[in-house]
Amino acid sequence: MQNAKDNQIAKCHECHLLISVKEDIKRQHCPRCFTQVHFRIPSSIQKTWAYLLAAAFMMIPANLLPISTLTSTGKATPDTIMSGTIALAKSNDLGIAIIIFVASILVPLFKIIGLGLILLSVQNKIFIAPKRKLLLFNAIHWIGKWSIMDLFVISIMVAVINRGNLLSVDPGYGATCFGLVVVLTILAAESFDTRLIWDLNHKNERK
Amino acid sequence: MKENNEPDMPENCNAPKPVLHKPNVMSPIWLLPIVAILLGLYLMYQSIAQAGIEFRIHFANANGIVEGKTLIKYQGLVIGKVKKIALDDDLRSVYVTAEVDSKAEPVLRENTQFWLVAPKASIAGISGLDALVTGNYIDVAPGDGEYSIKFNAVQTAPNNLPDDQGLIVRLSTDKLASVRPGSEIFYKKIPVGQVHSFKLDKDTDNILIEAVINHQYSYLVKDNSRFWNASGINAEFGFDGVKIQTESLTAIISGALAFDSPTDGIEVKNNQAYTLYSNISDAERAVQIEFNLSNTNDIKIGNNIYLNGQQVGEVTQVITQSIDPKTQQVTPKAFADVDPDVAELLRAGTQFWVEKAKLSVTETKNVANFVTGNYILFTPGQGELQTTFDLVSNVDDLIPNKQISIAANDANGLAVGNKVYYKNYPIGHISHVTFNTKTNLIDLGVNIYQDYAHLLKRSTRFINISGVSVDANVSGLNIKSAPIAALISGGIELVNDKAFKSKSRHQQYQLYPSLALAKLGSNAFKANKTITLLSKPSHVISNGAPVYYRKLAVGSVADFRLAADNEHIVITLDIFSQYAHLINSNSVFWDVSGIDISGSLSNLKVQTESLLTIATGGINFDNIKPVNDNKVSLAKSKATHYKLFRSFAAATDDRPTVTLTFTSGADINVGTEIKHKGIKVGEISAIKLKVEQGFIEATAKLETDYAKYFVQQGSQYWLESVEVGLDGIKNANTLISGAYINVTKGQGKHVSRFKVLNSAPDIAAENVGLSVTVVSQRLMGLTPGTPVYFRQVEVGSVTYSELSAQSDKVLITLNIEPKYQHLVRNNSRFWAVSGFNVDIGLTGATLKAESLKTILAGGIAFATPDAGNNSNGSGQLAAPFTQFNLAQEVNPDWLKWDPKIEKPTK
Repeated sequence: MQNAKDNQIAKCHECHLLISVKEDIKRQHCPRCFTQVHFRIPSSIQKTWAYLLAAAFMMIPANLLPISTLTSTGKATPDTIMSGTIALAKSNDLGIAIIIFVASILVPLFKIIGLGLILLSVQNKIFIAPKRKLLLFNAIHWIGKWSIMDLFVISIMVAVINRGNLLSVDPGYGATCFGLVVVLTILAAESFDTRLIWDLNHKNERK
Repeated sequence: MKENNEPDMPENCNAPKPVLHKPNVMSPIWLLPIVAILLGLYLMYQSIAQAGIEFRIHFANANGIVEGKTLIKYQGLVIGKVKKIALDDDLRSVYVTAEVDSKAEPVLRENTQFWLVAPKASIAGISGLDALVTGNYIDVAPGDGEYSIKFNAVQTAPNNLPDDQGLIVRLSTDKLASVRPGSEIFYKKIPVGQVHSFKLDKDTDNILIEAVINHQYSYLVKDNSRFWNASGINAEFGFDGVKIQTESLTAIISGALAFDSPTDGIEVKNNQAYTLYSNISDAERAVQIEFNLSNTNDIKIGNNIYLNGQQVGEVTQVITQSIDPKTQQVTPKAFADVDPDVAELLRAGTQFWVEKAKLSVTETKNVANFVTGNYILFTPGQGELQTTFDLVSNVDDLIPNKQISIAANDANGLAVGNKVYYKNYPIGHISHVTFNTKTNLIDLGVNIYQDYAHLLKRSTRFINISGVSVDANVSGLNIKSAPIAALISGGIELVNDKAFKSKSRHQQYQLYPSLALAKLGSNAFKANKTITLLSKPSHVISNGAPVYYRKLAVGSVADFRLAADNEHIVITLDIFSQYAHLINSNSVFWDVSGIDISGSLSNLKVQTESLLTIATGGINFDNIKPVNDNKVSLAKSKATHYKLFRSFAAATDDRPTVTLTFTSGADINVGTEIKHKGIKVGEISAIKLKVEQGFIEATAKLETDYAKYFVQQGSQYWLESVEVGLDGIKNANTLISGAYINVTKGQGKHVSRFKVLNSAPDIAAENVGLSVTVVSQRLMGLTPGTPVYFRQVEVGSVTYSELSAQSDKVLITLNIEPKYQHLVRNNSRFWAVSGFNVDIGLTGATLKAESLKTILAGGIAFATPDAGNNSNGSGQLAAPFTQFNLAQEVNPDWLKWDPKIEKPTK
């Protein structure tokens, strides 16, 4: 099975125009939108790894530092994601606790680990069936936006619950880090070129 | 697929091909995870670095401390939090494990003190109020020494001096009194600092107090300042009562100190030592002043000196006999200690006076003085500083004044201190009241304030304005009163009137009882004229009741007593000398006591002479031509008296009288009016029941102008009262206004006695209209008032009905109104129209009636035939009391008569 690259056909990333290019693809521009034309996203794996590692590092302060500080009658109670989830679970809001836990802890972890597995697989370090990889990637891509929910909740609480010393919520550094984790994982997912999954397969086939 | 512009390359070209070097450069994107790592590390480091330092505080108990909640605050800033509470090993106390911010590490020193702040309310104040909201917290007072993480909590807030908050002074005293940490320090009653702590000095056994003067007031503390205790209540019990003194309410509760600030002192540095005196006197800082007393000063040791309501000193010594070294005169003296603050005010012009308690109806003044003793007030002066002053007993004496003397006939409630008013504004006061034995008068010494001395002119007269002057007359009631103070306690009014101008330049002022008398000048002091009146005992008269002449009070009732005949009362009047000439032989006196309410519902008259006469009675007189005897004398007595008439009307009433007799007294009373044609011509003035004769005799007064017409033979009097009949209500107005008596004009001889009829007499007698008689078999309901119709026009009425002499017929007298009387001819026919006729025939029913009224009340109709043949005289005008037959039913022919009857010309 030949793919587009075999036939010297590249797709413009911007306008998705199919362009017939020579072997030397450098400095070739799309005749329609003048974007530089590549067969694949340049250094996609590197970029994805970089974003992924950055996200993985940020996971540490995001989970250890307080994500929000609740001030109630003068007493400030800082909460990390985990402690907040536990507090919610203890106060009989098990459903919400599960949602928060899934969205704030499981989903980022799932994304980072999932993408890592895909990358390792693409780099031929481990074997995952290409269709599974694609399924996994699509799942990561789709679920990515949902992990911002926790920040959304915090931002609403900060805006709404503001009664000075009596009752107020202030965001902590954890929230910033968590926000970075979410953004970085999304960027990682965006910079991964899914065609690489098939490229690997293609290469194996040709061998 | 090759592009054309590239040079062709032979396929078999052996030239080496360029090695395609795949660049193995790291993408710059790898900077991102590095940045992320750095950022993460930094944040982690920060949070670890700020995680705080754990340390332990040893508390006696853990009451009010909550694990994870109780905060540690320093200067109000949260620096840490309690992490854990655990029992100590000895089970007697607890260890609180707490964590402080790493930045607050420097506070963890060996001598740092921790204590629990909890809300606390006590009489001395409320503390830790913020803990109510934020919860209890642990406060820190940083100390010095080695770094430490084990502490023992202190029980209460330590009394460490706050840094750089003011000037620290150290006071030593032998007893603490109620001074405690937090007690305020006053300077001129302003709180300027606080006591911080105290401790017992082991060496001297004195108490050392550390106090802080607020920074902005620290300049007040001088090297020669003295501090004294102003705590609590200073109560003294003396002859003049209890003296209670306190600085302020907080001073009572929590103690207070005060100090002074001499101007010549030098400002001090921290930790200056002072002695604390137990009170201001002990501080010996007061300025001593000396008072020259007058006899009436009435001051005692301990009496206070006030300025603007603040106590600034007190009398310390009273010497009743001190010999002036210069003049060798014995004058009482007093010494007083005065606050140094006010010493500046004590100058040559300063005037001191004693405020005494005064309790009277007009004025309640300084009642507290009854308990606390009199006190001294002063007004600051302008001159040189001095320490000896005159003390006057009345503040009013201090006002520059002009002294005059007024002679008064009697003191009349005037007392020392009463004001002199000009236009109701006080311009002076009475300084002394003495009785002059030579002139037998009261001498009033009056001080007129210098500002108003110009009011004393030759035209000046003084009036006693004690009491209220009430002037009530037709135009209204006028109550005039001096200021309320003068009203009750007396006062003098100064009046300037050109009319008063006297010729002599140096006049002796006299006090006139009233303005009216003042106008009379010296006449007012002449003796009054006395006259006597004789009255029946029905008058209300009391001593002092006024005597009026044309509404002007000209005298009063001096006395009244029962006359010798035990029937009359002799009243003695004092007529003011200036009015004496008004009394002459024509004087007529009448009683104006009480309120005279006369008239009826339709016409009410309320009259009174003055308010005073309502209460005390009063007598009026005037000089009019007496209509009745104005003088009477008692039997067996030669003395003649003026007669006191019941009223002005009685005194002047000369209306002719007529005697009326009634068979029944119902509906009549005194005042019942006598009317003629609706106009009042007289009224009943007296009613007497003649039991034996069986009638009522009334005396009526007739209006002079009309009397002559109604006291002649032929006049008829009858009572008009309400009559209710089928045809309406007559005299309905009498239901409200009462019955009245109607009278008709008479002709003939003068008669003074009339019989009053119970109902209107036959109007025929009045010669009004034409009266004819109709003869009927039955009365048929033709009562008086039943109308008489001509062509259904009401032209008259039935006035009277009676049985004929043989009682076989009824004679009904009709009265035809004058303007219709020419309609009645000798040949006229009369028929009864009582009720109605109903003809029921084939064509239906016809109801015939003369008018609706005839259906109810019946009536008489008549018709007159054509006066065609006048020869037989049948068509002549009917003469009065002509008799006609009354037909039971109308003859239809009669209704067809259609004569043209000319109205006779007069």
